[in-house]
Amino acid sequence: MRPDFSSIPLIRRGITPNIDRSGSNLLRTCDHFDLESCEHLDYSAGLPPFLRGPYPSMYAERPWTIRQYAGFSTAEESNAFYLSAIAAGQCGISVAFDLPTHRGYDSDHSLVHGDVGQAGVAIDSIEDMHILFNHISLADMSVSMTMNGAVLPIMAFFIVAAQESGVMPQQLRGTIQNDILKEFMVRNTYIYPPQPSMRITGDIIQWCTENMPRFNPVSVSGYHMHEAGAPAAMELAYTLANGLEYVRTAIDRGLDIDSFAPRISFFFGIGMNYFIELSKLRAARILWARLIKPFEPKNPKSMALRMHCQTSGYSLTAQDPRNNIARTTLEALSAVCGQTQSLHTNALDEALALPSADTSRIARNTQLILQEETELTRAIDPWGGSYVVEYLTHTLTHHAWSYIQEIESIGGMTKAIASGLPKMRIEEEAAVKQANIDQGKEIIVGINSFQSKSSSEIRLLRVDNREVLANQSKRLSHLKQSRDSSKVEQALEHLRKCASQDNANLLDVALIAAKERATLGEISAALESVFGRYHAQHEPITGVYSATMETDECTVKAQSLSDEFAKLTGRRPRILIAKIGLDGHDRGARVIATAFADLGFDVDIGPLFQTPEDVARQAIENDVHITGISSLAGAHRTLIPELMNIFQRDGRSDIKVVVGGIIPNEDYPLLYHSGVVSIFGPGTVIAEAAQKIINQLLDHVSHP
Amino acid sequence: MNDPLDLLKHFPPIADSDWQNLISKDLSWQTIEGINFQPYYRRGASNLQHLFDQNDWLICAQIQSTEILPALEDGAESLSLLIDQPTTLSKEMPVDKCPLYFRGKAVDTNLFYSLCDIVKSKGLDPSEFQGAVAFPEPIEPDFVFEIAQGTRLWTHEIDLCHWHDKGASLVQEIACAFAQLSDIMAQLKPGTSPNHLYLRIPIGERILLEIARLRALKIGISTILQSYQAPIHCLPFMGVSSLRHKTALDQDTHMIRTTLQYIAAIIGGCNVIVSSQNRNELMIQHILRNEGKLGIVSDAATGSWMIEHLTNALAEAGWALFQQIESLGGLQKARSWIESNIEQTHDQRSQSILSGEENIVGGNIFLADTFQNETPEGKSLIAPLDSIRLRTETIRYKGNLTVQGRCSPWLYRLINLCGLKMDDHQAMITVIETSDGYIARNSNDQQISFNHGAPLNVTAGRLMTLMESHAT
Repeated sequence: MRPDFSSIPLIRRGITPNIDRSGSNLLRTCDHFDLESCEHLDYSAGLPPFLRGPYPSMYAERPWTIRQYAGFSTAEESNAFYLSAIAAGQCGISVAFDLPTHRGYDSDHSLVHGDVGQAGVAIDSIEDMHILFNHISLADMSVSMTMNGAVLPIMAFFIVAAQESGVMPQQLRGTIQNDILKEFMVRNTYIYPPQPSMRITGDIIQWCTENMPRFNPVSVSGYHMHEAGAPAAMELAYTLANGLEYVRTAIDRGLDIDSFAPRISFFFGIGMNYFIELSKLRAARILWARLIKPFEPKNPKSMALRMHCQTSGYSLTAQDPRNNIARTTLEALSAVCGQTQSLHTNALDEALALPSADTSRIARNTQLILQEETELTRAIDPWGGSYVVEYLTHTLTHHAWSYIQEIESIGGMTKAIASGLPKMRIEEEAAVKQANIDQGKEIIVGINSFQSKSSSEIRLLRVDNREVLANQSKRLSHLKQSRDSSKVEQALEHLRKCASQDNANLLDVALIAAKERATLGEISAALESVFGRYHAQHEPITGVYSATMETDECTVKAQSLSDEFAKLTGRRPRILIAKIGLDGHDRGARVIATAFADLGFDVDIGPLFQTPEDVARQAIENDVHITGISSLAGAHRTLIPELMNIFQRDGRSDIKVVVGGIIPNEDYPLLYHSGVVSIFGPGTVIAEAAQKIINQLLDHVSHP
Repeated sequence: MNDPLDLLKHFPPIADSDWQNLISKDLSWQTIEGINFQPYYRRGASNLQHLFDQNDWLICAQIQSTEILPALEDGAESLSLLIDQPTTLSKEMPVDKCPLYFRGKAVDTNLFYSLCDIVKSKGLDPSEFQGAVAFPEPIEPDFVFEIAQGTRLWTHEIDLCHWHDKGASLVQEIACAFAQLSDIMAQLKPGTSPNHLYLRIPIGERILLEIARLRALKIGISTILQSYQAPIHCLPFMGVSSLRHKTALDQDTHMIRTTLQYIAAIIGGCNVIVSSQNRNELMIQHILRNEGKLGIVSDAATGSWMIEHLTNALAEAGWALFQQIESLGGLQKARSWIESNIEQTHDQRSQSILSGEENIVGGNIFLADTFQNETPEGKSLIAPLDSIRLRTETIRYKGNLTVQGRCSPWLYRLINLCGLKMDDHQAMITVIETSDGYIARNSNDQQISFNHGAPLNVTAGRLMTLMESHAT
């Protein structure tokens, strides 16, 4: 019998299950959560505390900016890349500088040859900056620059280059990262000690506040903490605590909160846990408003957190790289649903090399599809009200607040960094995560499950380091011949004087040096002669990896092998974990150091930024059995063969060299040929690597 | 002339509420389904909230019978096999390992019984074996339900892809699903449990609407089943990827869409999600479950002010259309009427894509410079544009083009589609802007005229003929 549906309403009493107000069955971890207990549910977009977005109409008026972080090789090549990306739908530029530039060295400096043009673009002078933005109108294009250590010369080059092409500072739009605190915590591309570094940060904030009203003078970055292993609440708390420190620095200089706070921007990493990550961005906005409110701003925008997001590099895998398309898509969706203001999406080959033109296109298309085909730009905070998302927003807000309180009780982030607490906390989390992956408790597709039997063909971008170096050296040489050297020296002397006297804004002085064609290395060296160069010393944490892995068979086997080695030779296997060149990304190296110490090795952890000569000297002096090199920025092709030659020259070829990090398959023959005994790519189970290394040592003991 | 300005007489003061209403209207939007969509919803926006089942879905691989082992090794938890030719099932079918879903034109009782025999031969209880033997249309529901009695097999499929591929909107798909369900229930003996029924649902990339659509289906199905006094209130959903916007010439970009579709399918609560034979698509599901943690959240949309609103709006609109179909005597009788409605939707959508009004990344905008020679996907609205791009590979002499006048975004798309580059010095075609469009002329003085905003595939075809005649 067919019912008469014309009289039947869609919803019949008793059919549709009602919401269970306790929230049980919603999420395994939020049993018995009472949504009504959340104090934030009635917060909106565009009004403090900006839970649902910093602007009232959000993407309905203007979608987020597609801002892809890119730069490699020379200014000419990067400029061509930017121009093609703009033609293909990109809306803003985000400049990646190479490591020598970050560390304040010109490309022709003797310490840096392996890193020139590898992980970003080499910028030695204002001439390079002119080429970088050739055919790009700086009056119209928003430019973001990830620079912290050498922020003074880079800002000076940018401003003067713009002026020389007819664009005044007040017209410039964009962001300088200028977030030095997180460099001391996780990223390591600092140059000077913390105190003068903070002075430079303050000088830039002040100068931009007074002269560049459309430019963000600081981008407080949680991204690097995320990449170093910080979970969401920790990333939130430490980032905002850093932001608070910059606010206090600016206030101490007599700036009014409303004159600079609306121009502070933030930068978060977006990981794979979709609901947690989008909730993190909501929580960030509430917390920032809460932190700024006590400064009594008159302009509500001072309390609005605007952010750039980048999908996680940590979550990418070198194995089966096409899987990374799905990862980046999910993360980008999370950032958009969390209402970011701009976004970088990683390319599928970024766990292997710098992105190629083709993979950059796919990465950009991820955002274009989200803007053009999903209709998400029509929605403001579409997950608002969702029990799961509101629960996570509430939990993250409160959890992060307790971390912030802890930092405040130490006396703020500068003091907390000096105590080593934030770095230790992040390293502990990274070690636990690694142990969980190694044990298979956390599944990474293509790494510890569902591995592909066939290798995927991806054409990688290769930068010819020697060619870039030759090009940069030639240009530097030409620059030095064509400028007025006495005026350059005068400008640099003025810079040294101001740096030592603390009575002038250093950006003002750096602008003069840039106009006179002083190079980045010269400006940095002038400051270094007054401030000194900072060298961090950190011991690896111990016990965290083994505590998580204590019942793991592979771990037990590695530990017993190292005991066996100790019995046979009279001492434990000793390893030097070293970073070589200017690559400061040390999460992997530090996790390895922690884990190896827990597996029964004597571990020496080398300082950052070592030359092959430095590493060889330390290895020989400490009489290690193995030197483990972590390489993530492409310098291994040049520097590891050099290291092997030094061991050979000094008669210590018995010290075995192993390499880990991002090593493209096509580089393996070169490294093995130079004498490297093992290469461990991303996804290696550490205890298995340890076993392999000890077995090689035992083999050497039995058959010397 | 003595005409006092007297502004207030002509334009009375505007109340804040008028301005707010206008802004609200400006920001609001209507989907192709006719659903009104405000950008902002807050507490109290939706009177009705829903909570559906936990979404532990089965990862399913669409395979040929020779690909069973690799699919299982790649972590497929169920397998979907298309049977379009009479087939003898191998005794090696992994009935003891995972659910198997057979569908296709050649599915028949022989296949059903031979599957049951294989199940028994492996010492399994047929009443415990899960999977599908979906009989093709036309079906006598009573018959297929009767033979399935005593098993847990799904034998009757409500295939929304049928309507989707014709161009149906979400509301039309919902209404057709409701109507088809009602037709089936009306044919069953009273009191029969429809536990051998399932829905096969294409999932697109409009993620919020897709999640809402899946939830809306659950609401209406529940009402229909209760109206027939059926003992169950829910049916299983098998989600499949929509191919509507697929460009065969940019597979990596399409993986982005597939990921978004799976996310919607998972959050919307599909019980099974089918990946194509491409291993990468299977991996997407593993990544979303294991790394994205989407599986641990039950109906995450519960409470979302926006999605709850959309759920109710889609359910109501689908229900209203279903009531219209019912008033015409059910789906069988109303088929030509609803098909004609769907055709209009299809034409509207197709026109919008082919004219470049709606952007499909890699399909009609931001095209890849190079591509492999793949067959266009027949179910995709992009297929005519893919065909044009493939034709560019066959032209012997490509050359370049110059534009006299304004190069509008539409003309720029056309130029890209034809694989041409702007070059004033070595142009083989000159395009001249006119008052209502353009004239394109080759060096043999042959010319065509076309209107601005005309279907890109048609215009590109004519332009390429002009190029070919230049080349010859």
